[in-house]
Amino acid sequence: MIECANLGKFYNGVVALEGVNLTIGRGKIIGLLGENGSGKTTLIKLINGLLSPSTGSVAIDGKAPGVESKKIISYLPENAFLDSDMRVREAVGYYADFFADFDREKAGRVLREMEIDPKKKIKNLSKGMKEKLSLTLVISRNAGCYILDEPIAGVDPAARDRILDTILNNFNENATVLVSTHLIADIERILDEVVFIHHGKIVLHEDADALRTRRGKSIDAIFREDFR
Amino acid sequence: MIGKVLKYDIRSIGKTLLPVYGVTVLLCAFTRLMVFLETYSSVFGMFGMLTNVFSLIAVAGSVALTLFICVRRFYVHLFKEQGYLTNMLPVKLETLVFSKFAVSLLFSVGAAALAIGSLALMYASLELTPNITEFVNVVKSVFPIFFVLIILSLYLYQSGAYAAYSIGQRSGRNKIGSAFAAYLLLYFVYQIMNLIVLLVVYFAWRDLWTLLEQNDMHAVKNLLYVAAIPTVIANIGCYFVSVRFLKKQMDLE
Repeated sequence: MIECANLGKFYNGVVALEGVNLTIGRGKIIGLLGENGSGKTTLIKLINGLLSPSTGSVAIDGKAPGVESKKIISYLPENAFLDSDMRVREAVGYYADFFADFDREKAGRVLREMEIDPKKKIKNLSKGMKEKLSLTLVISRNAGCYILDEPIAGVDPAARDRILDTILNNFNENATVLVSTHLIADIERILDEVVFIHHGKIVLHEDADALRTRRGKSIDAIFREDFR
Repeated sequence: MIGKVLKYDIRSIGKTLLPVYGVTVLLCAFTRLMVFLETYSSVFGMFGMLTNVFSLIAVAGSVALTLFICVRRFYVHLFKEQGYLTNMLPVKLETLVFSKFAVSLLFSVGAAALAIGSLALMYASLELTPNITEFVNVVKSVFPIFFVLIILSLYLYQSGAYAAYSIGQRSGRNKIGSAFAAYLLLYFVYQIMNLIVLLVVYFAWRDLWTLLEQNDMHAVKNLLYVAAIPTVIANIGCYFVSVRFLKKQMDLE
């Protein structure tokens, strides 16, 4: 589904990502794991076409990022990205207008579960509620691929499990889910595969269960050991 | 998709500008009412002078705010946080940029109409000083093209800013600084175009200058039509520059 070949990104000569060769198949939940500043967000932006690569290429279903890839990728950025002057229901309408795969019913149900009032203005929501709203909109698409950049970084530990359950219960089951995070312990239970990224390079890409069995530890413990 | 993009761009900008336009028109109408009531009491006249100043500030402020809001929308919507949604819409880049240019043109027409309409509302059929009366008569005689030129010039501030921001994206270090430098460069190119057009007209259409010296209003009108040519070209050019640079390199912060 996603193929990166010798992908690299430099900012004013500083390497953010280098020589990334990565193939991600369909129907899996993949954890893109690395410390802050390791290159996770840069890789995600390159896959989404929000950055132009300095070297190499990205292909989604064989095509460069563009209108067709945006139809099938549902992306949750790490920053607040919604127009804060909109009301919640207007944001839902915006998604429904632009994304043919958006499921209004699912959005309504998840909003109720998250206890978000559709009449409220986005700017009047708390930071945590804004993040929940963003996740609701992204997950309410029946997309072929979900790319979630740090979906649990801004919420308290108690809410993390609820957010992960929301992701698990609502994403399209045939879809690929790429989740980037540095909070590995919180997220490892849902992962099928893991990709370790360190100083802009992919250092490991393996099946999550196989890795745990091979090393006899949790992924969090392996990560801490390897990048201590 | 263009219809949907336009709908949200118009709604977003209109939400801020339309109430401002409404207040400006009300203020101008109130000023006119005070002038009308002056015949009954000089207190109304004094109050009218005060609201007159506020109205003129409101008119100028509305025009300036139109430029600011449109340019800000372009920047925030494409290059800042909201760009993470806008640039992930399944819409061609050309469509996104075209919508911004089209909506800017729409609100430039609105701002120009507001300015002229508000001034007319406040001062129409009033006795003005001879100089102002003469100026108004000149403007009236060249009205359609004068109005178009005001719109095109207002619009050029915005389209120039859009193109400059798009060029500034190429810079890795200082995008805003690069955009400012690009704006100055684009302005310089525009002035060169103006100069070339004027030189061509000067050498190829000598009769026009003779008529201008005789204050022939038809000649003035023709000169304004000629002056509109580089402005139209510059506005269209800014659209293509924006699309070309954004297509070549998109680097969202």
